Amino acid sequence: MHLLETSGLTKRFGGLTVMNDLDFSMEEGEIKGFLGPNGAGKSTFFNLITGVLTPSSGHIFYAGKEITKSKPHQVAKMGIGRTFQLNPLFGEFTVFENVTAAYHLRPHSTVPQVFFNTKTYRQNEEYIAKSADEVLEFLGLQHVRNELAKNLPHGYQKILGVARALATKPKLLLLDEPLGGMNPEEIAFSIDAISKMRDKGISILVVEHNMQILDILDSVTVISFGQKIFEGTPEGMRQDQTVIDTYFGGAV
Amino acid sequence: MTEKLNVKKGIPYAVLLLIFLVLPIFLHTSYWIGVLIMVLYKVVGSVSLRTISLSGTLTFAHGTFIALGAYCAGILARNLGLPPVVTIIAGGLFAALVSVITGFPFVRLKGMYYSMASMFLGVTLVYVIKAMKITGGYHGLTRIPKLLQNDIACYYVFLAIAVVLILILFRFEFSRIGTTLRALAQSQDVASSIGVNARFYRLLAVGMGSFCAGVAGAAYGLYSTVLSPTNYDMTFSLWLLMYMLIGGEDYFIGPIIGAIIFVLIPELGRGLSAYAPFLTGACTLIVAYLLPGGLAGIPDLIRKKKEQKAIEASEGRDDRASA
Repeated sequence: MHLLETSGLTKRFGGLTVMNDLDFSMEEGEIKGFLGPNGAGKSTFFNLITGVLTPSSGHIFYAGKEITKSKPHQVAKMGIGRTFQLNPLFGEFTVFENVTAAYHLRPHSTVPQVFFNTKTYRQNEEYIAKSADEVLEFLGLQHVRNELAKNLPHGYQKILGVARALATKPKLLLLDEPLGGMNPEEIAFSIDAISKMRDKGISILVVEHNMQILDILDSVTVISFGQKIFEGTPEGMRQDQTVIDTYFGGAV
Repeated sequence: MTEKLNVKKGIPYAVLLLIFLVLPIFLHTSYWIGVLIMVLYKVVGSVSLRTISLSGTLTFAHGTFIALGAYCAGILARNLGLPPVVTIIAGGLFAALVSVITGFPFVRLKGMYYSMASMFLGVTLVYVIKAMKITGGYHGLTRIPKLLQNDIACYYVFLAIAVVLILILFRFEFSRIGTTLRALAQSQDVASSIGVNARFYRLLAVGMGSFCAGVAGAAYGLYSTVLSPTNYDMTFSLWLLMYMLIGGEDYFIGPIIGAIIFVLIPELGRGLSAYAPFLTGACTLIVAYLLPGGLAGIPDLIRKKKEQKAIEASEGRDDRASA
C-alpha cells in the first residue's frame, strides 16, 4: 500500500486543464520531490490533496483511504500537514502563539473541556507549551519566540510555516517551496532540518525550484503543464532528456 | 492582537462593577434605574456581538437575535406563566438555536458577503415577528408579567445576569477557543490546514454570542413588560456595532466602554437628546481619525508614544556621543 496515491487526477478550471490524468504515488518514510516549471500545476496538486480544491475527476488515496472529497480540516486530521507558498502564518500572533495555536488536533481539547477548564485541558495546554518550545528549538526559532510573526524576516516566516505544520503532528508533510526567497545560510539550515524530520519518521513531499533540494530526495516526479514527464531517482532526472528539454528550456 | 491577562487588567472591570453596584444609591428614581438597566442591556449586546466578530465576521443581525430572546421569553411568560428563570434561559437558547440554524448556510461566506447575508436575515426575521399573531404583530407584545415589582431589585438581578454573561464570554475568549477564532480571522486557509473546522467554530461563536444576547434581551423584555418590533430594526444592530467599534474592537473592555458612554450621552444632556445621533457621529469621526484602536486603545497608544519618545531620545544621545 502506498502512503499517498492518485489515479487519473484531473483538474479543469473552465476550459483550462491544469492537471491532466495524473497517476502519482509515494511511499511511507521517503522524501519525494514534486518538481516542474512555473505553472506546471504543483500548487494545484497540493491544493487537490489537501481538499482546498476538488478534482474534476480521478481519485486520491491516503494510507489506503479515499480522501478525494475530504475537506481541508478532515485531511489535516488524518495526518497530512502542509505549508503554503504565500501567506504562510497568523501575522498578529507571536511566533510561539503561531505554533501553540497549531496544536489543534493532537492533543485535541473538546469545547466543553476548554470552556470548563478541566484537568485534561490544563494538561493538554501544559504539554503544548512544552512541545511548542521543542519545535521552536528544533527549527532554530527560539530567539524570536516572542516576536510578532508579521515582523519576522521572510526566511524565518517560511521556517515558522514548517514549525506550524510540524505542530499538527503529521505523518505526511507537504512543503510548498520551503526554500523560496531564502539566503544560502537559511537554505542549508532548512535542507538539514527537512532531512532530520524524515529521520523522525515523517514522510515528506516537497515542491521546490531550488535544485539544491535534490541532494536529500529519495525520488522525484516531474510534471509539465499538468502531465507527468518523469518519475524516478534524482540522478536519473538529471540525465533525462525530456526533463532537460522542458525544465531547463532545452538550452543545456 | 492577543491581549495578555494579568491582575492589572482586572482593575478597570472591578472599578466598573463597583460603580454599578453603588450607582442606584444616588440614582434611585425609576427613570434612572431604567437608564442603568438599558446601559447593562446594551453592554451585554455589544460584548456578545464582539464575540461573534472574533472570527473575523461582522454581523448585522445581532439586534434581531436579542429580539428573538425577548419575544420567546415574553410569550412563554405571558401565555404559559412560566417563571423568569425558565423564560430567560429559554430566550437565550431560542436565540442561539435560530442563529445557528440560519447561520449554517451563511458562515461559509467571507467578509462583506457574510455581513450582507446577516443584514437581510435580520431584516427578514423582524418582518416575520411583525407578521405573526403570537408576537402581537406590528403593535408589539404587551402585558408581559414583570420580572420583579421593585425596580431596584430588577436592576440588581439584571446586573447579576450581565456579570455572569460577561464572565462566560470572557472565559470563552481567553481560552483556546478564542485563540482558534482569532486564527480563523487571520487566515481561514491556514487555520483549515491545522485542522480547524471553520464552519463549526464560526457557528460556535455565533451560537455563543446569540445565546448571551438572547438572555439579555429576554431579561430586558421581562423588565420593560412591553416589546415593540420597531425597537429591534437594523438601526439597533448598527448601534451595537458602533459601541464596539468606538469602544475598541481589539479589547474585551472596548464594547463595554463604548456602550456605557453612548447610552449615557443623550441622557446626560437631556435637552440635547435630539442631537444624539449627531454627537455620536462626531465622536465616531474623532475616534476613527485619532484613535484607531478605539477608546479602550488609549492606554496602549500612550505607551507606544512614550516608548517611541524613549527610543528617539536614546538615539539622540547616541548621535551626540558618536559626534
